[in-house]
Amino acid sequence: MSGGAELGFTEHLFKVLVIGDHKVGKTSFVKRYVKNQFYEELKTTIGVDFSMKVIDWDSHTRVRLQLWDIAGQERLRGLNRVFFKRSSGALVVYDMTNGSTLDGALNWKHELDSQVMLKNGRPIPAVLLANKCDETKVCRRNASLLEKLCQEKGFIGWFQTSAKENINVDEAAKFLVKHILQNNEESVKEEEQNMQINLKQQSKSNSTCC
Amino acid sequence: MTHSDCLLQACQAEIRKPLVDLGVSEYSIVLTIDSLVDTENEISSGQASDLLSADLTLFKQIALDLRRSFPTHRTLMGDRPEAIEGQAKLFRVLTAFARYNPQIGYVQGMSYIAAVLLMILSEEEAFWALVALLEKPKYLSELFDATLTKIQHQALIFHHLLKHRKPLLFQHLETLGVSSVHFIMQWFLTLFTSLPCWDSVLAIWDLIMLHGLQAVFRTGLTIILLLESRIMNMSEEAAVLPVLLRVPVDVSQHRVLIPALWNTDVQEWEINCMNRLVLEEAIGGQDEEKVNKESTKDCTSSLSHGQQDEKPSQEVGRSTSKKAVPGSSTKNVFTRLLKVAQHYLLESGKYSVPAKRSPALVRLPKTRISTSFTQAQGRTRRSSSRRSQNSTLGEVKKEQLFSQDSDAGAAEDRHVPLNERNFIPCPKTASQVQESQLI
Repeated sequence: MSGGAELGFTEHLFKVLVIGDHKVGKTSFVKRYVKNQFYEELKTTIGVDFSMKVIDWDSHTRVRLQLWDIAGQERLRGLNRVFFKRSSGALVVYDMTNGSTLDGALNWKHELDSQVMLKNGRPIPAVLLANKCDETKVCRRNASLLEKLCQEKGFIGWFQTSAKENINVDEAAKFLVKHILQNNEESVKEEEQNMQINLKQQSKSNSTCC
Repeated sequence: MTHSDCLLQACQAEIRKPLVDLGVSEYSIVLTIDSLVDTENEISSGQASDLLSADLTLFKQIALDLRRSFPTHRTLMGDRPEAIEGQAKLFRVLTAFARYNPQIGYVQGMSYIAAVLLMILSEEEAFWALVALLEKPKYLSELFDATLTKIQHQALIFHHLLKHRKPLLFQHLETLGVSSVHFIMQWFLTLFTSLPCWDSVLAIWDLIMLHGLQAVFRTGLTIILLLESRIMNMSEEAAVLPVLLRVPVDVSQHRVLIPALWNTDVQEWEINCMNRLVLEEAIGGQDEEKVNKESTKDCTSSLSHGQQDEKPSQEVGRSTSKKAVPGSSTKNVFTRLLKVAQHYLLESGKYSVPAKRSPALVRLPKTRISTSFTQAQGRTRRSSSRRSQNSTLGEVKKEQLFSQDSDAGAAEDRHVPLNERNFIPCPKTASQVQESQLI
């Protein structure tokens, strides 16, 4: 998933899924994050929508994020396997003003984990977004509940966000990207190790077979 | 007409009852969606019947899409009386359809189609037009179903169509990892209403009304051909997908897209052949799995049988990663494809079927075409029956549909139950495959 290094400069390309129930604000979140714009009325996403965001992470790293905004009605419908393929991370969105979408978000997370995983078999990093936080306030009980849910369901963290008021949008995405980069480094290291092991094994087997 | 009146009214009355139970009307549903959410929570905690809960899910789903279908059209935008009425009409048409045909219910994308119909027709006409579009094999009966299986199948058909028409472009898209399902869903399920030029959309709709599903493929192919040079110069998925999902104005404008559409031809038999290919691939994939399974038979446990059963449906959904179809079955497919094509050409040469069918000329040649297809299919059927005795029933249904299909959606097919018209056969389960191998 990472591009070639040139004079110490690395460019990464990551596919990030934006999933969650119908009308929880996935497309709005993406529009805010990518274009810093907000529209009251957006068209229903049919199938999948696609956006790109380039982040200059630090002086020698550039991250190109592919954001796959997946239609909310498509849950558990066989299509997800096609859409989830090769993704490095996910933003799982729910609508704070609508409690049932939290259950939906957990189902999406479950679906995600059953369809994709990292090379080392661990789930891909996913952040839970409690969107539309401008319309309601999280009480403390709720916050501790979310904290607990994150641990139980394997989210790397959660954020209260508002695409409308631009609250925590960048922060949440940054948090996810940080984890993706970490995973990436780890997997590169693991791969190198595996390569060495494979080479050793190969040299052994070569000597036996021919 | 009186009969149809009653039907629509009956459907609407059925819808109104749960609405009344919820204490809302179609005029207030958008505004009361939040309180509906509370009701939903009450329902899920067991305070109401399952039936109402299903209704509520449907109402919510549709209500959420009312303002999100054409958010800038005056009959649907904002809170002005005209828009409130427009949204209520759209709600009534969509809920009535979901009640009229519960097997399909409501699938996202329908709101776009119904909204366009409502822009042109009266409410009742729009309802029946929607019924005709979504139920007739000539039109979109093979696009919409509750599980979105059909649209995935159509995406695979498009995938093959592109492969045969434009191998280089196809190869390029394949290399970049762009799967046809990514853009076909949006194009087909909204019937191209997301194109930025409305005059083009209306012209495309005219063509679809004339030629049905075939025109949907034709339009899709035209758009991708117009984008061909651009796509060929792109080197990553991230560049290609936005162009396909948001077709640029310079391509979708009337004076570019429509002439190109006239110059692009997609024949019904071509789509039928591609359909056959997709089905063959699905079955071929299973055979391959079967072979794999045979070779590792010693280590398979009863548990893996269950897993195997799930595979076929996944196989149908897969669009790009199918490369390793066994050589022999590929050969068979192409021989068969060639035969079907030859048959068609011979027959059409004999009876000189006009490319554009005018209603007066249609009758005689069309029956000939359908028999010729049936013969060709008979051959296929014989060979496929060797594979599975169990699928004979499915094949007969397929054939029925086939003649209906070339019958340009005759009026009587209203009486055929929907599930019988579905000519995508359920993939055989592994156990069935195994049985047939034993025979």
